[in-house]
Amino acid sequence: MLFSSIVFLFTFLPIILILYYIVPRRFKNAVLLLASLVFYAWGEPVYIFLMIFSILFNYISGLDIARKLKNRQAAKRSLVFTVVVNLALLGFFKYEGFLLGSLNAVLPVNIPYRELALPIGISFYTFQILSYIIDVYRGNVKVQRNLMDFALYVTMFPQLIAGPIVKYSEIDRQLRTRQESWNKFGEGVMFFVRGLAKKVLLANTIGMVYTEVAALPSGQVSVLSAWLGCAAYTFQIYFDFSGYSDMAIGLGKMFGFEFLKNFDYPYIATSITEFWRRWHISLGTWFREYVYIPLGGNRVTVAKHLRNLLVVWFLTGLWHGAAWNFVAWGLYYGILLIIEKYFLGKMLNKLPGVIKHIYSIVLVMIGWVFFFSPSLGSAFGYLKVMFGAGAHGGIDRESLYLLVTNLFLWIVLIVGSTPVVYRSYEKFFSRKGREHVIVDCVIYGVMFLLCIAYLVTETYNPFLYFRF
Amino acid sequence: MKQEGNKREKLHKKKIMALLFLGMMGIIVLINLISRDKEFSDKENRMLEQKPQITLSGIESGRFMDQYEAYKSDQFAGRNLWVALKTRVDLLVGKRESNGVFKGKKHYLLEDIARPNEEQMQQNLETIREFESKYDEIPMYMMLVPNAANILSDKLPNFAVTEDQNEVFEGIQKALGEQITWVDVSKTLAAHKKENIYYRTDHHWTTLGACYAYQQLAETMNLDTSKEPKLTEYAVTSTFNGTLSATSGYETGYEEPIYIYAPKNEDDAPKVVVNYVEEQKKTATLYDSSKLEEKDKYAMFLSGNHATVDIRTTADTTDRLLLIKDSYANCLVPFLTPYYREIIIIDPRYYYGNLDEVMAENKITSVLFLYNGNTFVEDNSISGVLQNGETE
Repeated sequence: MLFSSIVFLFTFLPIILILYYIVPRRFKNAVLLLASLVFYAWGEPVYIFLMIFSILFNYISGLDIARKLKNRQAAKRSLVFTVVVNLALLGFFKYEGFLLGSLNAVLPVNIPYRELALPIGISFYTFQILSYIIDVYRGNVKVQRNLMDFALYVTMFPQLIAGPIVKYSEIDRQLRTRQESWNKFGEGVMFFVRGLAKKVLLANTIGMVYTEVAALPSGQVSVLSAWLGCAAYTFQIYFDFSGYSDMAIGLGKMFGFEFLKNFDYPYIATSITEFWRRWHISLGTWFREYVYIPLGGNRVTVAKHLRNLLVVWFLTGLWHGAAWNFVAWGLYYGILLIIEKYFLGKMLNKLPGVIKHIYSIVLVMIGWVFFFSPSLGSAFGYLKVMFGAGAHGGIDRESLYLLVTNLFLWIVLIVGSTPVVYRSYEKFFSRKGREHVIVDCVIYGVMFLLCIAYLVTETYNPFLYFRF
Repeated sequence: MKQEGNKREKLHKKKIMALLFLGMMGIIVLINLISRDKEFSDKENRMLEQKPQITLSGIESGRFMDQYEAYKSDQFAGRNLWVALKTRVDLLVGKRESNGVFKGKKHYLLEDIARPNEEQMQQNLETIREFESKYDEIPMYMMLVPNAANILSDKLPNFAVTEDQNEVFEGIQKALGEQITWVDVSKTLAAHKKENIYYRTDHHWTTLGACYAYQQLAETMNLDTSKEPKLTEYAVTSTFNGTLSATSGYETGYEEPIYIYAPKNEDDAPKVVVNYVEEQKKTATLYDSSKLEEKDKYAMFLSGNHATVDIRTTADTTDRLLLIKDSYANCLVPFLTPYYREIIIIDPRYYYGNLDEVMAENKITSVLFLYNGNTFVEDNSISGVLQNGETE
């Protein structure tokens, strides 16, 4: 189930909210767990069993590791076994086709395989589980003896299918004691509605521009069209993904949870290094904590540091999808970060702000070309058009149409990618009391209504029988 | 003190926000609980999804969930109002396209030009050529009517681009070869583009557009237009709001007239008997005024689309026409009745008979294919119907 659906907004969420707030405290986690299982099963009726297996296996493994903590050797063996099983499950369901396909291409063999449907959210919940297991081993967190609380940590529906990746240590205490309040609920509503609007009003709408450009026959794409298509995707993925994170954070707050921020205006970054401090923060934190630093981080020889960076970025790419273009996308960032770290860093600092902004946003946009292209070859093909080779002129009618008919949207997207509006709004109204409340309510109320209108219209589907 | 007050104000504000959200959600949930499920949507002209049955296999495959989601949004209370709201907002922010329909200038809605389904189209063209070669002595004509977005391209929103329909038509004409006479109505219609030759809210041409095309057709087919009775224009309705409006959600309040061209003096024109063969229904008129009470008023011409319509006339001739067509033909047929003893109209999309039998049994003297560009380039029924005689 998606948050941005009529069934979620007007059937699932109301029922869960009522149940959650009428049951006594000791049943609240049970309600959330049940809700999360239904939520997951709604989209993945079969893979729910895989998830339940994962929960049971890791619950027991956690206990096992904790029991052996006095004996480091035994604990380590248990840890390695658990991590391997988790990665094997992820590997089997997410990477089997990719791995065997690549092997078949490179080696003179032909291993038959069947493409499995990817269990939704498996990349997210596997990483959450790993953070728990590793932290138990490290002694950073106490082992969770309550199966229900553990299951709730893994399945919690607000962040189950698209993050943020919540580390167990962040939420351990909240699972036992947390405070729901009107205050938090109201904040949650604002996060949720903002996220919903980002996803439904902005991401989905600009996504159509991207789809339109992507559907143009090759040879019909002008330079401007190619850049507009790439810009459309750049906005789409940010507003989609960060919108989802905002909705997750908002829903969490409605049930008394506090999740950490996952996006921090990534497109205003002045360097690639900064971009990755602002983009999908929970994933970056995870890789730093469980891969980069254990490998030695930057406190090693230069050669090893380079290796560490490339390993992390290879894996980051692979995490996003089982295909070579994602790997290329990850390594692209690995290399850029190395260049910034060892060569460009000081020079960049001296450049004027505008240049730094342009520098990073252009590199990020080029990165997304690798991300959205179905293959490496087509990514390079698209990049060529962006830089004029094989393009349908610099500017053609199609590109002007895409630009002009969406002009208002483009402006909203650009401004919305910066903190300007939000901050000046807060600043302007912070001194006013009553007006602030009214204006806020009107803005959020209208945003919510518009989202409903857009969601209902998605299925407005006139039957074209009378076309004939 | 002031700090304190500010903080309380903030808390207060958040509680109001929470209540607002819960209130809106609650009201919408309540309205949806109260409102009855509908079976059919007039606006969308389709059956709406009904509450699905829970079955184990339905849940296991996820089908139940899909159906339930479709059911919930199909039956969402005030659905049409929500859609209207969204369309308004889209227009406000500059969007000029919805569901493949452009919101053009001067209230014109224009259907986007369809991209040909090449494989299917080539197959259609080939079977048309084969069909022609079987009947060497019978003249065959092809009239392909350009769509409004082509002729009225100046009415498209600024910078809007469509497929080049003229180029597609040239390709089709070339592929059909010399044996099938091309009736060039593109130029004719372009010459009259200042007049109301297309409906503003519907994807059809108007009777006036068909009238100009008929004049071109008469010239190409060498019809003896001295037989033509004096025609006068009558408005049969002035409240037509067509399918493009329903499809796009634009101009839903715009109403326009439908005209027919009927003989001034009834005795000048031949009498007709219209036989809807499959329906086994005969009438003495080319128009079905009961359709004027319905949403799709264009169906008043020949009562909409039927697999076979057989029109016999009292015209003083032995010529018989086979017309293979889509709905664009429906408002042009009335102009042709003075020239034929019999007109057999076949709509391949609904027709399952054998055309060779039709040709043989009815002593057909000429064949006309009449389609609008968009339907023709996407059609998947012509080749099947034309080949039927061979496969059986």
